Amino acid sequence: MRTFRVLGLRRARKPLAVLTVAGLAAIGLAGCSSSSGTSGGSGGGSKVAIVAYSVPKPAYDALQAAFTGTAQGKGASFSASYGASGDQSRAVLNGQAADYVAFSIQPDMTKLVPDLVDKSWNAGPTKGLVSDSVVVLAVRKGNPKAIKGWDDIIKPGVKIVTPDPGSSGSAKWNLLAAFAHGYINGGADAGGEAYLKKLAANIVSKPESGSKATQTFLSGTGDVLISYENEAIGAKQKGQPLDYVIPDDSFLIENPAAVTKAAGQSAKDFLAFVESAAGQKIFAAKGYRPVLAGVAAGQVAGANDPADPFPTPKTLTKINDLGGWSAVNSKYFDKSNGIITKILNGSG
Amino acid sequence: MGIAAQHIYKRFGDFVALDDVNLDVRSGELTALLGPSGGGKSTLLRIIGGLEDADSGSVIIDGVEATGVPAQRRNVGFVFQHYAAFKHLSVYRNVSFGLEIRKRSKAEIRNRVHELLELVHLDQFADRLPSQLSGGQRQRMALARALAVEPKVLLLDEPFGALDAKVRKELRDWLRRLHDEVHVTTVFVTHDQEEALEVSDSLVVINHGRIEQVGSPNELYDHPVNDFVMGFLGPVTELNGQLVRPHDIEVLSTDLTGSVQAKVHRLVRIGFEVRAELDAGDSQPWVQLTRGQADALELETGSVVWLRPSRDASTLVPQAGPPGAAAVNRTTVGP
Amino acid sequence: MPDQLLKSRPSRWTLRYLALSYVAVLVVLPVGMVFWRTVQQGWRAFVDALTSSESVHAFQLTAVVAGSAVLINTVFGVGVAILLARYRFPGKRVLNLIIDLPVSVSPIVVGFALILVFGFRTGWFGPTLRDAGINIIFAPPGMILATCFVALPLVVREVLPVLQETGVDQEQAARSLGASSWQRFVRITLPTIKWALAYGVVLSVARSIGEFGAVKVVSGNVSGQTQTVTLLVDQHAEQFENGAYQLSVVLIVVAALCIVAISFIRPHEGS
Repeated sequence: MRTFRVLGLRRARKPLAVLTVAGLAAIGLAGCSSSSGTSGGSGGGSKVAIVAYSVPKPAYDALQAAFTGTAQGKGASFSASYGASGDQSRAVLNGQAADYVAFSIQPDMTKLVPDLVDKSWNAGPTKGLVSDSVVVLAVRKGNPKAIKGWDDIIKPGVKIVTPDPGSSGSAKWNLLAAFAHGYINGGADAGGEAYLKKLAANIVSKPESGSKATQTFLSGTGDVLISYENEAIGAKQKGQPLDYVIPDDSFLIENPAAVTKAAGQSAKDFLAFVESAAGQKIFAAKGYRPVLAGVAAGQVAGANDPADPFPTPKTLTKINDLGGWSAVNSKYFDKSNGIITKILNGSG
Repeated sequence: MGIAAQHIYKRFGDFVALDDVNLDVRSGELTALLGPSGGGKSTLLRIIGGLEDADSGSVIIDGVEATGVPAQRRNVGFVFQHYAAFKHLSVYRNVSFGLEIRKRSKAEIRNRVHELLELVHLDQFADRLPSQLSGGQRQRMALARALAVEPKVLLLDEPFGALDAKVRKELRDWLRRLHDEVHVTTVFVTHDQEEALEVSDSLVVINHGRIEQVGSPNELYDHPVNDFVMGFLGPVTELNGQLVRPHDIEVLSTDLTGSVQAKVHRLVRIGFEVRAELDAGDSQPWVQLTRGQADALELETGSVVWLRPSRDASTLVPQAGPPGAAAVNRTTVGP
Repeated sequence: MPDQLLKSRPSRWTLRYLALSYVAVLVVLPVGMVFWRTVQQGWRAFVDALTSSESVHAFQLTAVVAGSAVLINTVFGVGVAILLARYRFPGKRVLNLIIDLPVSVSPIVVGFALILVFGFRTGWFGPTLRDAGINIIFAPPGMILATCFVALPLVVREVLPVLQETGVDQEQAARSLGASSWQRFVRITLPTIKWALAYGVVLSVARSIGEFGAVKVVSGNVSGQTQTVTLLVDQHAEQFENGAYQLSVVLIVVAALCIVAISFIRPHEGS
C-alpha cells in the first residue's frame, strides 16, 4: 500500500494522475486481497457453499451437522449465506459462489435455469422440493384479538404485518393464500381481489423478508403476522412469545432446492441427504412438513399440538390450482399489471 | 545581469493582464513596480518568480534563461503581502526552511539563521510561532526566510500592504537600509506612489498590462511622459489647458507674461500647507502654497491673483487617454 | 423578540425538556436497551458471543474492510481535496458534486450499482476480472469498494475547507524556497491539514465499521467468509440467535471511542 500512497501524493500536481492513481490503488488493493477471499464457484470435493433464503437457517444448521456425521458427508465443509429469497437468487445470478441453493419459491430457482442450475433440477422424486409448509396467522400470545381465520384479520383495526413481495418469497405465498381465500369462497378472481383489497388496507408493515417480518412483529408491530407454519413453530422453539392459527383454508407452501452446475459431489450428496427420510425428519423437527410421504414427524416442539404437529387444513390450495408459478407470476405479481401487485400498490 | 523580462504576454480568460511587456532590472538595484491594482504588476512579479507562467515571452535571471524553470529551481526569494508564514513552524524553522531543503549542515543552518534573525531584529523571538508575532515582525521574518537561501533576486509583492501606516513607514525605511547592506537585486510591487518614490532606485509604472514609463523616481516625478504617470505619482491640476503640479504654480499679485487671472474661491489650511482653490474662467485650478507664501500675498477668499507655471515646472497637454487612466487622474488630482 | 422568548422561564424549560426527551427517546433508550439485554444475558454470553469463530472472523473482516476503505479514502480524499482546492480543470464542478453523491444515494443502490459494474455474469468488467482470477463482488474487494463509496465524502469535506481557507501562499513560499511538490506536501500541506484529516479519518472509521446496506448487497453475506460484524448482528437478530446484543455493544463502544477521539481533535481544528 505504501507505494500507492507515495505515488498518489507525488503526482498530486496533476489532476488526472491523482484520480487514476487513487483508482488504481483501490482496484489494486482489491485485487491483492481477493486471494484471501472466497474460492468462488467452488466445485471442490468437500466444500459446499449454501445460498438460501433466511427462514430455514436453523434447519440447515441441523442438516449440516447431521450430514457431516454420515459416511458420505464425512469431511464436507460448509459455508452459508442467508437472506431474502429474491435477493439471494439475484446474488447467485450475479456471480455469488453457490453449490447448493434453496429458495422460498420456485421462480427464484427458475431464474437460474438453465445457466447455473440444470434443467433437470425438478425431475427427482421430490420434484425439486425439499420442504412444505402452510400459511398460518401468527398472533400475540394468548390470541388477544381472538383470530381464528382469514375473515377475522380484515376487520377494522386489525393490524397486519407481511413481508414485501418484491424481495420476499414468503410474501407471495402469504398473499396467494389470502387471495385464494376470497377465490374459493366468493367467486374466483373477483372474490380474491375483493378480499385482498380489504386485507391490504390493514397492512401496517412490509419488511424485506419473512424473517424480518417475524422480527418486526415480535418487536411489537401489528396484531397479526401472516407467516409460514414453520416460521411460527421455529420462533416458538426459540422461546419467542407468539401463537399461531392454521386457518381452515390455507395454501401449500413448497420450497425448492437444487445443486448448481458448479457443485461438487459433496453438494449433490447433501441434497440427496436433505431429500432423504433422515433429512426430512430434521426439517420436520424444525416445523416443516415433510415432502416425502411416510416420514413420521414425531414430536415437534413449538407446534400447537407437538404430538400432531401438522394437521391438514380443510381446504389446502396449491400453486398448481392457480395454474403454476409462471401463470401466477404473470397474472398476479407482474410488476405493472399483476392483480395482487396493483392491489398492494393501491393501498400504498 | 539582473533581470530581463522580454515580450511577456499573459491573459486570464478574456482579461489581458500583461501585453508585450519588456522589463530590465539592473543588478543590485531596488526597483519598484508601481501601478493601480489590476494593472498587471503582481502578475509580472509572479512570472519573474516562476509562480505564474507567461503565455509567451522569456525571463532571464542573472544572465540565465529562467523561462520554464520551476519556481523551486529559480533561486528567487519571494515575500508575500500576507507574509505566508509557515504557521506550524517556529520563527527559527521558518527561516531555516530553505536551508533544510538544501540539506545544509546543522551548524551552518544555525549560524546563518541567527545571523539573519539579528539582521531583521528577531533574534529573541526565534522560538515563537508566527501567530505570536505582530504583522511587521512576521514580514521581517518572511524577509529573513527569503534571504536565507541567498537568492539571486528578491521579489516582494506588496510587502507592506497589510500593515498599518506607522509600521509601514518604519519597515519602508528599514527595507531601504537593509538593501543598502545586502545589495541583492530587488523588485517590489506597490500601489503606493510615496512608498515607491521613497524607497526605490528605479521605478516602473505599469497600467493596463503595459509599462507606461521607467526611470529614477525624480525623472518620473519631474518628467512624466503622460498624464497617467503624472497623475499617479503626485497631485495634478489644470491651468490654462495644461496639466501642472499644484506646487509648480506661481501665484502673482500682478499680471506678468504668460499669467492667467484668477479669483480665490476657497482657502484651506492643512498644517503648514495652504491650498487655494481658484476660478480662472476656463479652468478651476488649485495651488499648493506654504503658509508664508500665502501670508505674503495676503490671500483671502475673493482676492484676484495671476497664475502661471513656475519656470522649471513640468507641464503636459492632457490627452484623451484610456478611460481607466482618466479615472485614476480624477481621483489623484486635487481636492 | 426571539431573545425575549428564550429568556422567559417556561419556554426555556420546555426547550430543555423537549431536547432531553428527544435525545432520550432516540438515542439513550435504544442504546440503553441493548446494554441492558447484554448485561441480562451475562458475562459468559458476552464472552461466547465475541469469541465464536464466526464473530472472530467477522471482526477480522470488518477490520480489513474498514481499514482498507479508510486508507484508500484517506489517500484519495486528500488527493481530491488538493485537486479541488488548488487546481482549475474542466469538470471540477461536476467532481465537486459527485463527491457528495454517496451522502444522498442509498447504500443499497450503491451495492446494486457496483454489481452492475463488477458483477461476474452481467457486469461491465466482471467477466474480464473473472478471467483474470480476481473476485470483486461477493468478496472482500467489493465490500471495500462499497465501503469506500459510502465514506467517500468524509475526508474530502473535512480537508477541503481547510485547504481553501489556508490558501496557496505558504505552499508558494515553500516553492520559492526550493521545496519540491513532495517536500511541500509533507512539510507544509500535511501539517496544515493534519487535524482536519484526523477528524475525517475518525469519521470514516466510524462510518466504515457501521456500514451495512451496501456491504450486504455486495458481500454475499457468507458466514465466516464475507460476513462483517454488522451483517452478523443482522443475522443473529433475524434468527433469534444469541450474540446480536453483545456484538452491538462492541459496535456502540467503538463508535463511542470515535466520538471521544473526535472531541479531542475538535479543539485543534481551525487553530
